[in-house]
Amino acid sequence: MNNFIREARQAILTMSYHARVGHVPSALSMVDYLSILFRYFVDPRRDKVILGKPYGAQAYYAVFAQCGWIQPQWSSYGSEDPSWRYCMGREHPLVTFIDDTLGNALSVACGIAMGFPGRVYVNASDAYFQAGSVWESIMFAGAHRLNNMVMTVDNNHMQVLGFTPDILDVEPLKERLSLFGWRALSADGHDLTDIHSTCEIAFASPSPFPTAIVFNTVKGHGVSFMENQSEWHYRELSLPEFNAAMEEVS
Amino acid sequence: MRRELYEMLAALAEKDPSVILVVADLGTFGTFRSRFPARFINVGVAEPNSAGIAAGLASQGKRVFLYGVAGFTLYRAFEQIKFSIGYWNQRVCIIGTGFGWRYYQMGRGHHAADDVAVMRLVPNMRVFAPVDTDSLSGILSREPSGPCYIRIGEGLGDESFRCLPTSGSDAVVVALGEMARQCSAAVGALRNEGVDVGLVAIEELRVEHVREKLASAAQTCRIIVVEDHVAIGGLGSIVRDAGFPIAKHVHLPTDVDTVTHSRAALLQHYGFDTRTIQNDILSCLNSKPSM
Repeated sequence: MNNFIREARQAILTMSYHARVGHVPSALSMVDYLSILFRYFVDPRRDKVILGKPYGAQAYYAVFAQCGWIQPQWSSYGSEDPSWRYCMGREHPLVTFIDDTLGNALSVACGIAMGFPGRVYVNASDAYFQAGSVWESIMFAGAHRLNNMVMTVDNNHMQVLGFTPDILDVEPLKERLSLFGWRALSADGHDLTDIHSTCEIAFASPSPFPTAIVFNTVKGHGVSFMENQSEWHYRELSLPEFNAAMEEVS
Repeated sequence: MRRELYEMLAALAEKDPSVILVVADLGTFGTFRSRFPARFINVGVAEPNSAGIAAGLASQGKRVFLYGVAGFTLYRAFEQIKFSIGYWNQRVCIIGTGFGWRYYQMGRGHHAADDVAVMRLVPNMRVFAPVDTDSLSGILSREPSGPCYIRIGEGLGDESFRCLPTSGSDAVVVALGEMARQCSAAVGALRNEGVDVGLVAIEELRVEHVREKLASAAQTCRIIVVEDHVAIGGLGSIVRDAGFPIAKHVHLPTDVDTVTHSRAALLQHYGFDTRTIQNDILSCLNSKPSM
């Protein structure tokens, strides 16, 4: 698994450098748990995958390629190729729905969970829970016990302009979700054993409630000069920065 | 028209097991709810969520109707309608009520005087304004494979508009959906006085449809547009886009309000009563058309 994730991190950096785009730390914070999730628990060819966190899409491409579902073409990332858009588009065959703004995917996921008998998986971020419409959906999924839905949260405690607790705190998120009728779990989003065992509970142990896993992560994890640095949210990598980052993740 | 709509949707649900009705705590739907309780989803007072859920159900092959007071659905859930339904081209049929001043005493939120303009901006959205229950039934039976919006009102006026010619050498009244019924008395009376005036109901808000409907309009006749909608982005602008000059445009202001105590008084206040429309037609017979 370590190799799998190391290569995924390298792919994220390579894509980002070639496309000259930002959102690199957003991809790095979720790549550990996405790797384990898609390697062992979620199959987009069987399950419905909904991206409530559309940014940092480099991580989705990297993990899908590592799983062998797409051919790696890192230099196509961010191009006009509909399979390699900067944010995955509606044309992408491995995802059912992607948020175009922030705060709508979860309601669409509720509709999908009522119309589809299998598993519905949603990935969201912590700042996502600042949007009021998200709580309409959280309340609905809990009240209607949409137990075929699993949501993961990349709780990296940061958003565009700084730290989430300083801007509008969403904590205690796990407890809030629990109060809204969800089975709420949490894990260290960079501890592979913890991620795996929490996913085991979420996916293998049945519950009458929808399940949420709050993954506590570090934005930019693995690249020291990006970690918890707000300025890196949109920043592009220069060649020396790319080389330094590649060395760190390798 | 609401009561008939409730029955039509129940009948559709009977025929088609994929039919699902989503509401945000509005609409009684007695028959539908008692016969198909599992296919009636009331999300509570949460319009944004209702539109997202509708999109999600549609993506799984359900035939979804999203019903509500237009003033709530369209504005509270515009983001979800635009992105989750429109952009993803989901087969969701949005039905908005509140036209013809159905809820005249309920305050601003119950009016949606710019619904057509707003919905025309949504990708893939087709916009309908049925003139009566027959046309509503026709629209539902031909319901498009992508998103659509249907505005329904009170069923103003009578059915005599169907007997009136759709063209005239002097003038033609081009009315938005149910407004054709509201205009029929004025047009009928003027015809009895020897004015050759026609009446056209526009039921789909699309340039091609308007062009088709006005194809037989005489070159020389004056066009009077009547719409219970603001001037921007509604029927008037479509008529102009279709290449027809407008001699008189009867429309609502953007700050439409419930300024009076009755629906009849409200119609009169905004110039949609028979006498005012009659005068509007007469006054433009000798005026020059403007683009």
